[in-house]
Amino acid sequence: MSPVFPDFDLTGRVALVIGCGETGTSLARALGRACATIILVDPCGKQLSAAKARLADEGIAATGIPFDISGRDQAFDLVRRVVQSHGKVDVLVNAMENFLGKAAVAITAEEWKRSLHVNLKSVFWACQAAGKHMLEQGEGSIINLSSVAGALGFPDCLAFAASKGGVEQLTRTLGVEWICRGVRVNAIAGWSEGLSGQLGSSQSDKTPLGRLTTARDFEGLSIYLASPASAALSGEIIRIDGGYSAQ
Amino acid sequence: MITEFDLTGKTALVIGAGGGLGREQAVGLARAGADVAIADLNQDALRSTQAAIEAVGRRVQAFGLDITAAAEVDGVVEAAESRLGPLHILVNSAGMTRRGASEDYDAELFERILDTNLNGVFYACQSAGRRMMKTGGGRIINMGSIFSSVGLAESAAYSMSKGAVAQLTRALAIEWAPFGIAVNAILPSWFDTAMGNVVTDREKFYAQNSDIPSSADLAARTTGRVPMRRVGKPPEIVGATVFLASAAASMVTGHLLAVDGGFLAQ
Repeated sequence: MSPVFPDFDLTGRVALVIGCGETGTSLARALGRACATIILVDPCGKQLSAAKARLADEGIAATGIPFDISGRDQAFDLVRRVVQSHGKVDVLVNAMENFLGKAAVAITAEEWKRSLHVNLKSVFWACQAAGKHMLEQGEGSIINLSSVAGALGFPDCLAFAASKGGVEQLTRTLGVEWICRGVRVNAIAGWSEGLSGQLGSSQSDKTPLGRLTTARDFEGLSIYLASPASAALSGEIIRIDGGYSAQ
Repeated sequence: MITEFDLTGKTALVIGAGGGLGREQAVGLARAGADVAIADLNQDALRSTQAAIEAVGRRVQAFGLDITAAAEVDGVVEAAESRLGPLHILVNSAGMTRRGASEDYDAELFERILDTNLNGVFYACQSAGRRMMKTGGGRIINMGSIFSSVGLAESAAYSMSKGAVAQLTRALAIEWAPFGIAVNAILPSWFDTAMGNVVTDREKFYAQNSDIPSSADLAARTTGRVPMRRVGKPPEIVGATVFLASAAASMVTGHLLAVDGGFLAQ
């Protein structure tokens, strides 16, 4: 990495990226380009190998772990495994997404719970497990993924929107609670694949940038948030939405 | 007399009406003229709410309800309608919290708080919303918190649930506006209720165990963060509730109304 501003250098840092969709893979690539060691986690083995292949194309070697966080114990198990194999966790990226595009009246209780589980509860479990380790080492950065739907209302995405509202408050709460012990928690809020797919054509014209943002647009910010360059930043939700929510 | 606030002829369901702010809201809606169905996990706690509503001359029906069970919620909404008539107003006021360090927070407690504060609200909104669509509209009032908007240390589960309720409110407001259903939330700060005291007591604990010079008076530490320098009195939630339930708020939806002594404005 060219030493434009050394604070952005992630050499020697271990980044645990949970979720290998478009967003998780893009953020893993960004952190890898900044020289972090990348560990990719995804419940689906197929998505994991595709993501690893994409990173390998750019010269980034990532370790892949097929793993489903179904509760607190699994999250602690995952962090224990990574600490055993890599010595520590410096950065956690929560990029799992379950997008349920459905009218609110038609959502079943099971669908609601599943969506909340993937988008919100498992984020807390991962934060708790990685956060406890980071608090012990006195340093760490957690990056959660919110959404434009984390602060604004859109139709037919209720479970996703409610989850992201929860993620924003989780981020602020942990951001307030842990910063004095060296652990920072922030979130990136933009458009994700699911929401863009559902609302994209109707919303891109309403975006000052003229298009919806994609995971590629989050890459620079993810390096900043993971690195000491953002040492005093915590509990922030940073909106990368082409000006959408500023108007 | 300003008639826009009159709820005569309207039917309301207040969930979590056994105590705290929910009780005040149920009685407040009755005082504004509504007939009120009241529900709470603790059915015994509904007796005094029921008596207070009867005392102002409105019809009332009480239901024991575990809001974490979707089918049970739907059953109560249906029963409330069959006994009092089509539902116009739903107030989701059931909630709970416990404070604790996030890194050690108990898994079962975490699930219980999200089930109660978030899943239960969804079940009630969905059940009432389906019926309101058929009858031409209605008003849904969810209880958020100032911690729907800002972070409070050692309160992750509660803040997550309330942040999610804020987004549930906005998303439903957008989706159901064409059906004449307005969905808003009230964001209270600390109030003098059993739940408010969970938060305040913990602040007291901090103050007694920290080197903050003013720790002798901790009420002051909590209230010191509120521009009005005091906690809310439960009846102070009634105005916002009646407003959002009434014709006076006919153009208001997707709004988060802070009743917080100025907390979120600072």
